[in-house]
Amino acid sequence: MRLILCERQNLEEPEVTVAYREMTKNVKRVADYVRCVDRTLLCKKDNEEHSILINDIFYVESVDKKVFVYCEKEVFRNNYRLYELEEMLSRAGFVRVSKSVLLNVEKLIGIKTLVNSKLEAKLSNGESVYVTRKYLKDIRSELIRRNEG
Amino acid sequence: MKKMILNIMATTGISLVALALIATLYDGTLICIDTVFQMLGLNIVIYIGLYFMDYIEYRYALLETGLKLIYIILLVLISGFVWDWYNNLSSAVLILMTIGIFAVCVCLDTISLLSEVKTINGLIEGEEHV
Repeated sequence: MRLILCERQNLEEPEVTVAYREMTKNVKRVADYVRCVDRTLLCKKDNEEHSILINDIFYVESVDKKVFVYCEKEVFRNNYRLYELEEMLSRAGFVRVSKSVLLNVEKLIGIKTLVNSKLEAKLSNGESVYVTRKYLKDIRSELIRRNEG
Repeated sequence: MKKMILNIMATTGISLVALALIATLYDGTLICIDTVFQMLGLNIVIYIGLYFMDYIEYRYALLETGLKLIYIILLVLISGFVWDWYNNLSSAVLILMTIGIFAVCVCLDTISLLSEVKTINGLIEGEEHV
């Protein structure tokens, strides 16, 4: 895949054009990524609304039917249900890692097994989340998908 | 599904080896063909149950392991009644055999898990190098 960067002073915002002969999975992946780059999610914190860039989200957790969106240092509330966010964010590299957590795989720096046979995913901001074993294959699939691009 | 089938076959094989070892201690020289199919049938039922138990997220790993072991022992004991295993083996020996096979399977499962985690960490590192 060839990359051509072109600076144009008359553009109001960056524009990405993907030229292809055939819509392969890599072309689709690039298109999905570009769509997600400046996609935002409307969240609340202290009764104020915030528009959060999806790429800034580390993970989403559901606790007592309330959904919390975790960014690098801040936590926000969101009104969507976890399964709705899972559908919305699946193309943005988010994967279900347990019954109540969606993880942005881009923020994952490693997984380790704990003494009590649980799995822990380490994130780039130093936090960690528990991973249920049955979701490991989804994490692997997403990583393979990203590495193939 | 593929993984479940492999697990069933592997556990059936381990079960038959364990049975052969126990039978040797009792001066046995044969395993009936019926027994092979009974082992296979029992393992299929066990793994179907374990598949549904995996949908529950347990707070404590020991609790999960304990519940699975109890479930398997109960199924083995019930199978013993259905297929008249108590004519040749006591329930205590059957339970000990079940625990032994379970321990072997847990060890193999742990090795598989560590391998899976290593693969994922390798993919993450591969991504970082790109």
